[in-house]
Amino acid sequence: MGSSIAEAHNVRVLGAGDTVVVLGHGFGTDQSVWKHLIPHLVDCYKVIVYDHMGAGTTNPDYFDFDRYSTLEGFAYDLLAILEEFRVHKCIYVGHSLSSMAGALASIFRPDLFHKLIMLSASPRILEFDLMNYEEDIDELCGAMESNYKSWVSGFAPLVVGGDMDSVAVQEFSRTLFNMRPDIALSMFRMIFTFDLRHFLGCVTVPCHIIQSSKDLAVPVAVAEYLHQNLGGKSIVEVVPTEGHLPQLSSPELTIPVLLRHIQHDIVDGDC
Amino acid sequence: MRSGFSTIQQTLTPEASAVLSQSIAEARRRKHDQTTPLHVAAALLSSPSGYLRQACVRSHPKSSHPLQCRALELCFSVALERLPTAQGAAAPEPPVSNALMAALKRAQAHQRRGCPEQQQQPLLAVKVELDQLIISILDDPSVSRVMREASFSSPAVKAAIENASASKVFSNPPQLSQNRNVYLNPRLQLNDDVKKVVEIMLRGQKRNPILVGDSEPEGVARELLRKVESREFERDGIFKNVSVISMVKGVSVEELGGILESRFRSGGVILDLGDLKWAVEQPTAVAEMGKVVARFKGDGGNKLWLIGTATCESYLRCQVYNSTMEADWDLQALPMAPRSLPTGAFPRLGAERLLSMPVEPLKGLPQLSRRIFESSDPSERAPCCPQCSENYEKEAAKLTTVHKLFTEASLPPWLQNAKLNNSDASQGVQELQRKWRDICLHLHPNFHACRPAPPTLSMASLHSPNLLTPPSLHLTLQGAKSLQLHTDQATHSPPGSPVRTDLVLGRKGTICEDQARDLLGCVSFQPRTKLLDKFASALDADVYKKLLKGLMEKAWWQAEAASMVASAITSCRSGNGRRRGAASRGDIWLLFTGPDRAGKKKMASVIAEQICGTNPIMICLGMRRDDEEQEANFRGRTAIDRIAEVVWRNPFSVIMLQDIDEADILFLGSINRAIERGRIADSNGREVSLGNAIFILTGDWSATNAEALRDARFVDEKKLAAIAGGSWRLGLVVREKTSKRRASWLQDVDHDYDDGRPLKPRREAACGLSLDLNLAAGDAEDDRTDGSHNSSDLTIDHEEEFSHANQHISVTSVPQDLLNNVDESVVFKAVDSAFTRTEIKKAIASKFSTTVDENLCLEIEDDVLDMILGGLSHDKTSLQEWIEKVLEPSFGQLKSRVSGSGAVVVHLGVESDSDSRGRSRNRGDWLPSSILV
Repeated sequence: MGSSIAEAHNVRVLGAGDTVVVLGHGFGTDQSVWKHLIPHLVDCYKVIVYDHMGAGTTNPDYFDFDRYSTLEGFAYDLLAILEEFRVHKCIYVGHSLSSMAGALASIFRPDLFHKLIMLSASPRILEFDLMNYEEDIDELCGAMESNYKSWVSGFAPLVVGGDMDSVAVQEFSRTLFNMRPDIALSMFRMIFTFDLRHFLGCVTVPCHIIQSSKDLAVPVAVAEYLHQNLGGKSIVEVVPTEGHLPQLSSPELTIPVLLRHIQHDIVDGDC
Repeated sequence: MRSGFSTIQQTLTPEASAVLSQSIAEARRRKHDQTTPLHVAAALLSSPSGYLRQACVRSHPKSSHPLQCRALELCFSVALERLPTAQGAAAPEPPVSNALMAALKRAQAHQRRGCPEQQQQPLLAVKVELDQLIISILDDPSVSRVMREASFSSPAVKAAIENASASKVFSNPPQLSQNRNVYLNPRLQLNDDVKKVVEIMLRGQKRNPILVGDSEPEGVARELLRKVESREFERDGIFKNVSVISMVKGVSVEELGGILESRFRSGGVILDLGDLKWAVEQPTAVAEMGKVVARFKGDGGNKLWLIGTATCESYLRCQVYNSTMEADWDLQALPMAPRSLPTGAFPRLGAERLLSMPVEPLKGLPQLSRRIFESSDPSERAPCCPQCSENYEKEAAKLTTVHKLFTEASLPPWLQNAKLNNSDASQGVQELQRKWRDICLHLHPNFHACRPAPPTLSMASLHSPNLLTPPSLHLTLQGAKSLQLHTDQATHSPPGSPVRTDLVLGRKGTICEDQARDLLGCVSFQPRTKLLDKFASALDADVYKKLLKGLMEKAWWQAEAASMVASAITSCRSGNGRRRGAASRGDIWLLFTGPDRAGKKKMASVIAEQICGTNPIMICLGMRRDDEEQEANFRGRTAIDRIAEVVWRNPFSVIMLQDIDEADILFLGSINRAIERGRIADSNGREVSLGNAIFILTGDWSATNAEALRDARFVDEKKLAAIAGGSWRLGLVVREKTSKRRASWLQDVDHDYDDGRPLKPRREAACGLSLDLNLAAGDAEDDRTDGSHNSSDLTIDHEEEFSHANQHISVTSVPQDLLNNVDESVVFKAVDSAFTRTEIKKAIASKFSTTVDENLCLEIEDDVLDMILGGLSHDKTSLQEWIEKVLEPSFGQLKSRVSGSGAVVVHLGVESDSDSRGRSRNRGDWLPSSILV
């Protein structure tokens, strides 16, 4: 059975080092979203990257619509991978959806996580700007059902925060387009309905919250909210970038920040 | 003969001494006064990869199935049960028994003999190794007798161990899903399991897999067959041109030979045996099948496979009834572990599924919100915290398996008679449940404090009588059912097996139900309906009683209503409530009608306390405001908004909507819609599901005879509040007894009784009027003295008003739709003042006579009683509590003063208000907290 989980999630273990860094990508992308970050890590860390179930690169047969109708499914997958690779302690870098899955996993197994680095994370996407988004989401879902391709081309620039021609948008649309439409829709709905606010207090692992200064999906206030409500130590850094995928759209600004947070722990005075 | 544990320990190797200390711990746990060889044998068996276990497996002539060892374990545990327990306090370390000491000595001697170079050394230097210890333990007569009961022979096992120590090679049968990664995606796991099954099928021997497990072994078999049929394996070059024949589809074994013959020409055949339980009772079919297998084994070129599934139970029984089946059919049993997540792994989240918080559905995403609700599964509300439920399951498993052993005919008589004098397992299980519930409440109060629903309730719905009816759509019931089934299933999975967390949908439920049914059928040979019914009624009754007791204590003057409320709630919670539409619902709606406001409030708070462990949330719709503290918070928001918020915050609350008869028509409309749909929409259009909230709608709608009111036959609440609200205190005054005033309490009571009798029929008449709420009560009038606002908002039933307009009466009746929608409507009768006075007086008097003196007389004035009653109806304490706390000490004080003097009358009366000494009345504390003597 050893390989099946690695195979299913396309797990790759790169680099050498005593400390393990696990990278979890967000909705609509796959592990390639970390391509700018990984080269900086492999020298000093053992890096584990994986695709979460439902990403375009995974086998759609494994996508259990029930299991993945809540974040828990993704959290369990993460834990399964950690168990499989006998990771006893790791630094977890999660983006968007995966950062919350990581938080959830850290509630289940706090012993496995040294710290969490949350990029563009939100415990509940809708709540913070309800009025504006509700219609958008409806529209998006409708569009998704009718024509996935055109939906992707509309959604990608919206999320990434660039124009259609930018490299990042192209890249995001590519990975997004790889997903099977029904899976994308199911995940999309999950993302816009999960609500972790009540559980933030249970997260005791130190959290580093990194956030774009302008992100359509996650306003800056969310970072502050997380900071206030997380159960453990936390620190916020807002990067002057645009879009929900700063690691892809502006790596030159985001990657150094991420590296700094991976390398340094929160000193007690900071929070 | 007995030496200390530490001396013995020195003669053992670390492993052997670990086993010994483990068995001593076991003896202590069972409160035995000695540690015997049986304890050691049980300890040796309990380690899953122990020598003894493997030796037993290897020694067994017919089967190498690990399940056989389970039977052995059980025999040992039964034998241990029969050992006498220590009287009084158990020894901290039960001393080693003579038999065990002898065994240890034997082991030492063997060890010395085994190693010639050690023979010269002093005795203490020889360390007994584990296998020597096992061998000498096996020599013990008590151990070998137990082994024999489980059809193992100790000499054979001994031989196996001796062989093994020569060549330490152990071969374990492959197991499916064992040592699995608990977080694994089930689909991936399925894949892995299928791979393993295929591996077995490709072997030369023992190549026919039987998947043994209690949690859906069919899944793996089905997946495998699907892959075979869709030719997915052909890429790997296996199972080419293989066809599948299902035995389930009515192919008889006799015809099989012919069919196989014809199929073999084209390729191989996989014979799907389905669930093996059919083989238990058909020895001829089993023999036939054996022949078929033998026939095709030689010449068919290994082209015939069998595949089947079985529960541990039925597989063991197969082996018992058809002892050569495993060999004849060339079977390999593949134990499967349950595949769901252990809840114990996440202690901090309890058994609750993390994301099951009701999420406000978004406008325009109806499917989505439905989905979320389906996933918010109440079944995860284990009655105890994960730790305790695990323990409970362990014990339950033991109990039922032991019980099963007793019903098995093959066991010797001493086993059958031993210990189990309670004839059915259900009773034992029930007791266990109660025990662990109590333990858990005791040990983990936090868990229960944060749990929204109390254990009693989930247990009630657990054992609903509907368990055997076709699967219902009621969500609570469904969830609870699966929980129940799981406790049953746990009887066959290894101890500490995880609680299933994923049973939500109907289909799955039915599968389990079937399993449980045939399981129960296997376990006890009595009609299963009877068994389950007993379960259900007993537990329902338990909850019901507790609730009723609480209600009666606080609102004793409303006995009828109390029992109605209690039974309504119990039946709703156990799934017998009214089903609205097809939806599965957990909310309960009760309608309390009638004039007794205090009684309703008291009952609401009792319900809230018992069901949800909180205070009820009062929302006043009428003009009256009983609770001052509320108003400030809710100014400027509609009542519906408040309800929505309350439910959103805590879907397990009791919400009391007071004076719904005074609410406007818009509000009533929203409430009706909410009852119908199970969700409530606030003024912003956002919808909140009602969850498991209990709604209590109160209203008056009563029609009390005005005359009766004037006669003060019924308690007037306004007046009471006014009396009790003023500052007052009670005093006990001792007076000389005068022959003129013979108003001793005894006579008073008699007097009241005399009055009471003629009253009775009239009281019933009044009751009849208020019961028939939809008819205009003939000459009725509103009982309130200030009924002006009441008639001013007659929003409903105008027709009736018209029809009676000429009679100069004002009637509000309960709106028909509301009455139809609620789960139960309960009528609260007007409080009969004579009755209540008598009751209070009786209670006080009996307390008086027990604490002070039986021969003394106590006088209580009627207005004092009224005041007490008024206080009671507003205070949170019950009459009994007040008497115990306040009256009793004063009586005690009094006693010291009046002792000796016979001819006195004690008068309980009102002291003057001006007396301000020691006046300490807290807000919300209506009864006087001390009494002047």
